[in-house]
Amino acid sequence: MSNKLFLLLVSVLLYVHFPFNLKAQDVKILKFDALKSTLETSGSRLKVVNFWATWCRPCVEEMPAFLKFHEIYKDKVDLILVALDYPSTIEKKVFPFLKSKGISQKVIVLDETDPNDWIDKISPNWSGAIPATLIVDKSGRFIQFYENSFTLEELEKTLTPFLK
Amino acid sequence: MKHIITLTLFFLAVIQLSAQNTVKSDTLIEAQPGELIEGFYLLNIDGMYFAPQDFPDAKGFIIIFTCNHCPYSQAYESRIIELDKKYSPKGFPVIAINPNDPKLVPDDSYEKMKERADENGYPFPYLLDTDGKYAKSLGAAKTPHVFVTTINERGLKVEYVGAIDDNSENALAAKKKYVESAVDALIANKPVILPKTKAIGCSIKYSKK
Repeated sequence: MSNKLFLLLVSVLLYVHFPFNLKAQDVKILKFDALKSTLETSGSRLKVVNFWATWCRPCVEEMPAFLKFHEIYKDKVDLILVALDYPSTIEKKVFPFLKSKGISQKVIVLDETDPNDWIDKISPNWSGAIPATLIVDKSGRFIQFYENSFTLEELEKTLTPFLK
Repeated sequence: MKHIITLTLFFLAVIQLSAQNTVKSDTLIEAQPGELIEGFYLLNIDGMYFAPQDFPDAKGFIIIFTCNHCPYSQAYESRIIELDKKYSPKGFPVIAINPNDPKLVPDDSYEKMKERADENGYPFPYLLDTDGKYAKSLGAAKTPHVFVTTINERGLKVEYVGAIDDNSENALAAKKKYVESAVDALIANKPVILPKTKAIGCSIKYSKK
């Protein structure tokens, strides 16, 4: 009995102290080829792939809109947040950022140094500026690319045609 | 009426067929290698305007759109200084241009540009592109974004567009020094082998007017 009480107490204390840990973080560190095959895998939902970095102010500003959009349309949309922070700063920058924002959505940290090798494979029209967003259909085809920021309203207006 | 519907359907089909569509907030068309571009005429941090004619010994320019606030620009700052030290005496000075609207990015104001250039001893002009007009005319989309040009009688000819090298995080680990290879080739009167590359950067915060 006292054991059970002790466990309960510990659980409550843990909950109070580490509430964010309850949301499991889904973070993968991938090379570009692995990222590409992940994106090209067919699935039952549309993929919204947002390229961002913790240092990119407009990216951080638009992120709540993407999270909200995903919350509303999660039956139809998979949200994948591709972080372009330097791989060496994942522990110092990316993890603390995700934790502080309580982000439990799928995050992929791209482990590459030369963007010239892979930017064109996402879209030949991408200049390399972020934020940028790629739309992948259910069969894994890259169908749309946007090099601009979004508000929730703009996301809904722009992406709902793809959800039919 | 029937024709209109048929035509509409046809155009819709054409739109559907184009494999991947791209939308940019502003239509920026990047000046490509081989293209002629207009010369700059912009205010430097020392209060003087600079134009290509102010560099009588120049064979060309390493035009770099950069700024104070962007972490990628900061990561490249010392390498940009080194580029100028190495290539200005050989006829290819660095021209750094800040195209961001300080109303949108207070850290990129004219005063802050002066401060940063003083603190870090910029040996090159650091020009303010009010309204981002010049950057837009070259289709610059991000910082840093480099345009290496030569000079000919009709203007500036783009010889290289893109990134400084292949590793923004670590200068020592950079294996492909894109800008250096391009300028070395130009100095030796040889063709630029890789005239176009891409890199991740901070989107330019263009004035909304």
